[in-house]
Amino acid sequence: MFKKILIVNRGEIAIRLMRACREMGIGSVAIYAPTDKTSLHVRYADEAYQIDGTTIRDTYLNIPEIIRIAHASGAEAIHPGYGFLSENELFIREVEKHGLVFIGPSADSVEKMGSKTAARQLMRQKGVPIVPGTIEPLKNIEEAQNFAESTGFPLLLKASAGGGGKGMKLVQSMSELHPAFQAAQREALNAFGDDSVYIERYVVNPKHIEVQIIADKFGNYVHLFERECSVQRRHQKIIEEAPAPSITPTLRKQITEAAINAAKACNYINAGTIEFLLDSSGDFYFLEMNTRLQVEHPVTEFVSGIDIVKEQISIAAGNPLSFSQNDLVLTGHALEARVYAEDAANGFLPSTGYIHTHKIPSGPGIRVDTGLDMGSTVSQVYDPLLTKVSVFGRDRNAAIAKMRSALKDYQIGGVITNIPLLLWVLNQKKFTDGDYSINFIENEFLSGETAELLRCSNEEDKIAVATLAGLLRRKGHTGKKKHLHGAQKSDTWKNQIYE
Amino acid sequence: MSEYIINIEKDEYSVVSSEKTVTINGTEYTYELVSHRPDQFTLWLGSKVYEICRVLSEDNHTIYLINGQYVQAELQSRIEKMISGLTINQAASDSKVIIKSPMPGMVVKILKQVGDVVQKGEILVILEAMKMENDIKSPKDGKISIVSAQSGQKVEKGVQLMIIE
Repeated sequence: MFKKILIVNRGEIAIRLMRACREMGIGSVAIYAPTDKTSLHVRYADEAYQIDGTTIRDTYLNIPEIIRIAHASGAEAIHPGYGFLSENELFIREVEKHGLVFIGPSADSVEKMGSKTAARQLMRQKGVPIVPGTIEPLKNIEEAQNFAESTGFPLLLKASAGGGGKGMKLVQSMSELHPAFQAAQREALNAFGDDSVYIERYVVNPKHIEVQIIADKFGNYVHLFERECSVQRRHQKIIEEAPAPSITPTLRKQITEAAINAAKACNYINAGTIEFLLDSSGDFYFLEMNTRLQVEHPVTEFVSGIDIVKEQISIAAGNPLSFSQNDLVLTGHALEARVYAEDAANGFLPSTGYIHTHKIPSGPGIRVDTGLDMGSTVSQVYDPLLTKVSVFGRDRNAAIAKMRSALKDYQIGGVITNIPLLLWVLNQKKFTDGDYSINFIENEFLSGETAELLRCSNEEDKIAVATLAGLLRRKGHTGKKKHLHGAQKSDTWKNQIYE
Repeated sequence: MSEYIINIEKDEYSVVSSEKTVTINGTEYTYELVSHRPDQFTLWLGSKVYEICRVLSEDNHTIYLINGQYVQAELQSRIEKMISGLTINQAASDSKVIIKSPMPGMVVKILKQVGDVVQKGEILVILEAMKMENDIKSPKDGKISIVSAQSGQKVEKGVQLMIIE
């Protein structure tokens, strides 16, 4: 086993990885940008090294410095977490070239799954279902028309070089096809300098279902069941759960088998996730593979009982998986809510500031993964994900009730968070019924008066706030003078009491 | 004993307090208030107990967090309210609103020009921050009188972008 691991990340995930190291008796090394010097992940590590620089590129993405620090600290392995360098095959090659172990898949696997079109082709060869489409660029409008006749509508035209919705056109009927084809070509040319487009079936109101897999170097592949992550906005997941509420045992068997096949197709080693779209008729299609640890891994850890990070480290050290597929039993239900520094009532404006209050919920079956601490500053440089609240209950309703309670207990002061939106989702009948698709937030929330939907409707709570505001003013403690009262200025440790 | 008027959305709460009791809209309660940290409070109101966090404070309005909900409260003393009541009609007719950058970022696009008539909720400016594009919407019906930001400009929080009259 390794004696020391370098963690190339920050925030909650860095701390999550360091926890696994501690439990395994492995030393952890942090890196940090100068502005992160007092961050929780630096304080949690056994050792920490600063990388000078003001941009992410110069710090958390600085490959030569990271390699240098790995050697200087004596770390034998590197865990990248998610984001940053986690899916960068050049980094993996560099790490291995310098005699270090990358805790994750091989550079070849990452490369194979990195290109959307190449991954689609590979999946088709290996019999993993993909959204029916042409894959190859359309040569002319006749090809598009032939495809439309055999497949039916709605269809989606996409730029081959694409991304970000540019060159993407939804087509509902044959008469729309020709003009949409021309428009997609024009947009693709403008955006990417390449006018090639392809066409595929448009999956109406799909669910986002993903399967966690893990594999060792001895050819053992297992899945840790599925997660549903359909509550999302602009492809950003907000609430995830395991198991998926609408999946039958038969469908679970099919989709997890497809996931294992996908992993085998790229000779995958370590933990990874295969994302699928599931339509209302029960057909599912490969979307992409995430060749890394996923943000929402805690829900899988709850229902499978497996510590995914510890298993990742063990596999990277050359050990076989510590369990087999037959050892795994899906137990209970887990939810994760992502707390972002965003004002959901106000166009999802990012909120930045100094965290003066941070009170974490606790209780049986509640897990909080956070990089926040009192005194932290939330800047616009990094991802607005502040903290993750995960809960485990014996069934879905119990988990939902627990999550509502946990989020009501969570106090973050200094920035506006999306907690009211998370609570709103948990109270929607469509959500509690499990009857929701990836368009849930758009259809149910964004189409309404968002500020109105998130407004506090509890009269008692409003009276309490009005009373507090009045009492603070009576004592002369208006908002601006916030440092003039409270325990900090007191000579004793006793709480200050307002009579 | 002074009276404070607290406005929460469209509702108005009158709060009159003494050492041990507080009267809210005419109903009297015993109370106790403890602050654990400068912005974290426990309020006993009669037999009920509330945990409240003061999230942000700006001028006369403050955003509180209670049971996972934000409540924005604006406070005036009875005297201040009488004074503002005298000028409110005039203020309503020719009030101008300064549109400020709500956070540091880059102006991606200015959608309205000087002289444009806008309605409440219309998008005025697109601002990029945290790698996301954010719509800045008009808080009222009016006419753009000044545009002081340019596309591509980097702005700090609180920088004037436009004025609507």
